[in-house]
Amino acid sequence: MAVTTLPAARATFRTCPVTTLKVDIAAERLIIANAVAAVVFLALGGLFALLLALTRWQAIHLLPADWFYRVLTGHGFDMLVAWIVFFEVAGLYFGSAILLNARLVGPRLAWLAYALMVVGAVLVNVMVLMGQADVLFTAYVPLKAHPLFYLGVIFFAVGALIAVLLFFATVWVAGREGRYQGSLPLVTFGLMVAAIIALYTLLSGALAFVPAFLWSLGLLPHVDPGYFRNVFWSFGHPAQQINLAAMVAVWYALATMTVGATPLNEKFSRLAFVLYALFINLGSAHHLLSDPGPSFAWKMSNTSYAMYLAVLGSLIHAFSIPGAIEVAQRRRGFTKGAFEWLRKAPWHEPGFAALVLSMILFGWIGGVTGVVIGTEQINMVAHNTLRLPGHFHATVVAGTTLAFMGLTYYLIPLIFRKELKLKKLAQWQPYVFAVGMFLAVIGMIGSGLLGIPRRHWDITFTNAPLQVTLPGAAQITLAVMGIGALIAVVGGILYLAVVLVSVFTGPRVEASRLTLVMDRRNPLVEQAIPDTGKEVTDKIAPRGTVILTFAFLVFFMAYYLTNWWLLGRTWWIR
Amino acid sequence: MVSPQALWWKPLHRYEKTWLIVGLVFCVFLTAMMPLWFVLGRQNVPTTTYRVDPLQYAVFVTRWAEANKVDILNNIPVVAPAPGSDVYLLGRQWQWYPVLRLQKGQTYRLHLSSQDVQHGFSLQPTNLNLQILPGYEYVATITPTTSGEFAVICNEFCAIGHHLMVGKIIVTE
Amino acid sequence: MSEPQAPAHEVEPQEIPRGQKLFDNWILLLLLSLAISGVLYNAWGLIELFTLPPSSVR
Repeated sequence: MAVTTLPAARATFRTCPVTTLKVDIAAERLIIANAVAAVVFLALGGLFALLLALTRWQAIHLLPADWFYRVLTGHGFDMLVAWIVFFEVAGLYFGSAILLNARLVGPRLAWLAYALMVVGAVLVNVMVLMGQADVLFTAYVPLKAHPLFYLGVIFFAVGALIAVLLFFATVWVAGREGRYQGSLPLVTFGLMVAAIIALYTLLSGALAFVPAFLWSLGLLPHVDPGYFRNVFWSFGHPAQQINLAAMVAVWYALATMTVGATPLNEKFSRLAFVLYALFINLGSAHHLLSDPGPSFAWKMSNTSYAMYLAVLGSLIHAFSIPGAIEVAQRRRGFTKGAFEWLRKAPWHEPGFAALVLSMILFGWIGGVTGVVIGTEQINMVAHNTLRLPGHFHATVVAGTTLAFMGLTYYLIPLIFRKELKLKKLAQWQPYVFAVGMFLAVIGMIGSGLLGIPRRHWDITFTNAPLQVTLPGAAQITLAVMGIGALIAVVGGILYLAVVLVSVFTGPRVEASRLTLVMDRRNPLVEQAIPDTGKEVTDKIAPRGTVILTFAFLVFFMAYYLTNWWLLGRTWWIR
Repeated sequence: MVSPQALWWKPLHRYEKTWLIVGLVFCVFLTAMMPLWFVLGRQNVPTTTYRVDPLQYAVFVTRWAEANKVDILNNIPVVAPAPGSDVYLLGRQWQWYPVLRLQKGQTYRLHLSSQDVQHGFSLQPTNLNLQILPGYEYVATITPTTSGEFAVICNEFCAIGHHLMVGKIIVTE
Repeated sequence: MSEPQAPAHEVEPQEIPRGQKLFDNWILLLLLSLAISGVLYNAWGLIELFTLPPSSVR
C-alpha cells in the first residue's frame, strides 16, 4: 500500500491497487463508520419489518395493538431515514473524495455530523420503544410525541445537513485544487443531484420538526395540520427521491463494475439527472392529493412534476442503463439476435443480479404504481390503502435497498479491504431478497385494491362498535404479503451474514480485482472496451433494449388505463 | 465512474432520439388526462374547503344529528337527510358520527371534518378515500351509485384505538 | 472513461459547448432546484391553505 501526502493538502492518501484511485484515509474511515451504522439500522428495521408482517398477516396477528403501532413507527424511521441516509452519506463521501481523487473537506466536522446522526437516531428509537412517541413515522400534528422524539429527528437532520454541505465543499475544493479534469464523473454527478435534493429535504424537515418540537414543549400553542403536512412531505417524499438519485448513480456504478458498461451518451444521462434536480421535489404533492385545501391546479401541477418531467428523466435512465449494458455485452461478442447479450450476462455476479433485479422491481412495479396512484383523481381509490406501502416497498426496498446491498459487496474488498467471504450466499442473496420483496409488494398492492387500509392493526374489526366486513380475498393477499416478507427477511439475513463474516473475520487484504466472481480485471483501468467517443454501429446498437422499453410502455399504459376504469366504477364525487 | 472525455456534448443516437420523443409524448398524455377527467369525469377530488374551529364543528354536527335523527344504531344517531341537502359527518377518536342514510342516485353536499386529530375517511367496499384534518371543513358533492350498507373506516392513524374507528352509510334504492 | 487521444486538458475552455457548461454548473442547478420546489410546491400550496374562506357552521 502506497501512502502519499499531497503537498497542497492536509490529508493522507493511499493508492488503491485496483482502481489506481487515491483514497483519502480520513474519508475512508468515515465511509466505514457510516456504512456500519447504516447496516445496524437496517438490521433493526428488518426485525421490526418481520414483526409487522407477522401481525398484518391476519392468520398470525402476532403483536398487540400498542406494540404494532410502536414497531411501525420505529420501522418507518429506521428504514426510510436511518438506514438509507447513513448509507447515502457514505456514498456522498465516496462519490466526492474517492472518485475525484480528492481530500474530504472538514473530516472533524464529518465526525460531528456522524455523532449527531447516531445520537438522533438512537434517541428516536429509545423514545419510540418507551412508548413515548406512538405517532408513526409521519408524526402528523396534533398527535403529540415526547419532545425528545422531535429533538432526535432534528439532531439526525442537522447531522445529515452537515454531511451534505461537506460533500458540496469537497467537490468545490476538488475542482479548485484541480483533482479532476473537465466534468464530474456521471456517478458523482448523480450523487450531486441526490445532495441537491437532500438539501431541500433537510431544510423542509427543519420547517416541520422545529415547530412541532416547540409545540410539544408548550412553547407554541398550535401547529396547523395542513401546514405540517405540506412541509413534512417536502421532507418525507424528497427524502426518498435522494434514494432514487443515489440509486440510479449506483446502477451506473454497478453496470460499470460488473460488465464494463459506460454511459452511451453523457448528455442523455445527465439530462435525466438535471430533470430530477429541477422537478422531482414537486412529487411531495402525491401525499396531499386527497387533502382538503389545495386547488386542482396546485395538485395537478405538482403531482405531475410540471408535466411529468421527472418521469421523463426516469424513462431516459430506463433506456440508457440497459442500453449501456447491452452495448458493452455486444462489444464482447454477444451479438446474436435481440437478447443473446442478456442470456449470456453474468447472472452469477451478485452486483449484476442486484442491478437487474433492482431495476426491474423499481421500474416495472414501483415506478408504474407510483405514477398511477399519483394521478390526481385516481389517488382517491388508493389513498392510505395498502397500495401505497406496496408502491414504496417496490421502490425503496426492492429498488434502492437491493441496489445498495449489491454495492456493499464491492465496497468490502475496496474500502474495508477484506476478502468477501461466503461468496455462494452473496450470489444467491439478491434473488432471494427480490423474490421475497416481489411477493410482499404484490400482496400489499392486491390488498390495497381490495380497500384494505395501511397502518391498521385489525382489519377484522373484532371489537369495533359496528360490524364491518372487508373482502375475504384480503386474507389471501395479506398472507402473500406475509410469506413474501418472510422470504425477504431471509434475504436480509443472508446479506448481514455475508457482510459481518467478511468484515469481522479474516485478515486485511488488498483487493486485486474489481469483480467478485467473474474472472475479469478492472474495467476502470483496462481499456479493452472502447468508450463513448466511438459511434455505436448497427451491430452493437441496443436493439434488445428498444424492445424491452416498448414492452415496458405497453405494460405501463395497460395498468394506467385499468385504474381509470376502476375509478369510474366508484360513487360520483366532486 | 471516471470523468468523461473533455467534450461529451454529442448528438443523440437515433434510438435515443426516438425514445426521448416517445417518452415526451407519453408525459404529455399523462398530463392531459387529469384536466380532461376534471371536465368530463364523474369522480373528481373535492375542491371546496373552509376553515373551521374543530370544537364548533363538533358541537354543530352533534346538534344537527340530534335534531334530525330518525333512528339509533348502537347509541349512534341515524340521520336520513333530504336529497340535495347539506349532510355532516364528524370524525373523532374513535368514531364516525352520525350514521347516514342516503338514497341511491341522489346528490348530497357531504361536509367532513375532525374534532381532534387527523383521520382518513375510507368508504368501503366502494373504496373512496379522503384525508380529514381538524380545522378544515372538506365539502364533497357525492351521489351514491350503488345501494346497500357501506362501512366508513378510518385509514389514517389516530392513536391507539384507530382500528376500532368505524362508521356507516346506508344507501337505499 | 476518458478517450486516450483527447485528454481533458488539451481542450481549450472556449471550445466547450454552452450546453455542457450549463450542465456542469451544479451551483446553478442547486439554486434552480430550490427555487422551483420552494415556489411551486411550498409557497403556492401554503398560500392556498392560509387563504381558505371561513366556514358557515356555527
